[in-house]
Amino acid sequence: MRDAPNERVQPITALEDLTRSLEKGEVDPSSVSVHDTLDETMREIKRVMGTPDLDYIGDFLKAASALIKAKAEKLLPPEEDTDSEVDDENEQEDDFLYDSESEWSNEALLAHLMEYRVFQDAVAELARRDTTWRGVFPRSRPVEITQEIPLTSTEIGLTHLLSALQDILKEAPREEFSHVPQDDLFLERGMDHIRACIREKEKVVFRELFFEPVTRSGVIAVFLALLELIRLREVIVRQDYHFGEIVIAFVPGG
Amino acid sequence: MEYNEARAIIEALIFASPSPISAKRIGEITGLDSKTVQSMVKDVQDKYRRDDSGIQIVFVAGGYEMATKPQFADYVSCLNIEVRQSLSRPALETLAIIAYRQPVTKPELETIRGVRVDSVLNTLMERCLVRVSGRKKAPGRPALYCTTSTFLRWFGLASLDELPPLTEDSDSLLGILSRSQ
Repeated sequence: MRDAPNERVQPITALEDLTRSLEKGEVDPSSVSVHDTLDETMREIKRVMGTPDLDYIGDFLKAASALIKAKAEKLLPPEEDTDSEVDDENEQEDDFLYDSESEWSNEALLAHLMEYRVFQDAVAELARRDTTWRGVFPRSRPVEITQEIPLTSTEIGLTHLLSALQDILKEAPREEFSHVPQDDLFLERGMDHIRACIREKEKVVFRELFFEPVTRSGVIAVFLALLELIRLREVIVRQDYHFGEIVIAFVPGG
Repeated sequence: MEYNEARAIIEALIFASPSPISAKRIGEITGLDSKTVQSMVKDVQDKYRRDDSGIQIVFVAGGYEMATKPQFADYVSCLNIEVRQSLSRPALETLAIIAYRQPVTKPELETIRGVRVDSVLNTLMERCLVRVSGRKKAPGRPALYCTTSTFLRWFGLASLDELPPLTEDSDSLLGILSRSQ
């Protein structure tokens, strides 16, 4: 299974070949024609117009822009070092950036070009594994659930809370709206209600927050207030174990 | 304990474990040393291979677990089991950088990718493939990101060491990159 053929990304025509040649030092960046590069870019964009593979187009544009950037950097005059008392570390860095003729060294140029490309083989391997292992069903399906991450307000996820809210809403009776409540008061009351619930027992189970407001609008008000308290980092929301109760408590030391 | 019995117990433990179970943990339960456990697990793995079974025992995230074989994916997915979505190319790219350079900050990721990674990073966090492992001792105390054990299970990796090595050119380039920072 692990020996499946590598699903490499599509090759990106002559432009990427040229970029690769640059990386290998086979082509001098100063000899790259901006006109030809842009021409090739426009031709390739026209060719792939209508292609739904945005990644492909994105890769191509990245390669083209890297090439233009390389050319631009080659044309720029080197920065002058005005600081006469440079320490060893700076001297080392200058050696890296400039060669003996005070031009951009090939190394620095290559580094810029390869920033993005370094990981492409790794990306291809991960893509292959992603495809293969998507078809492997373990006895437990733990992928979406993590056991090693403590579930806190930032990590429990809004989807968990929304799911819990749906359950509460199912039980709350609908009411006729005669007026729209004023937002600030609406939210402030909800926040006070949550604070009071937590103070009573140091922590409160999510469901218990909704014992008092029995209407749907009341439930939503308290829920919005909870989100606001999370945003203000006043409370944390955690689930001590999977499928366990969602518990809300004040942020320790907060 | 007889060999066959011990092997059967190990098979039962792997079957019943809710998450990949390590050789060490099996050893603690059975009283066998890790080497013996590994050898017995290999026996069980061979048995499933020999029997042309639809089940296999895989070694992921440092532990053993039972899983279906990929060639039966089309049938198994008919069971209304939620099939996870493939990761997008930007997500894979970001993940690869985190995997090789962890712990890494968001600005460092953005420097390498040349684009903002907020949205991709959020997706990876939601899927529990990466997590915040700490804060860098630098101005602004940026969060440091690293991969999780879910990452290993997602890609069927026993450990991070199983990631393909970057090519020699890439390695030397990484050196250049780190020198330039």
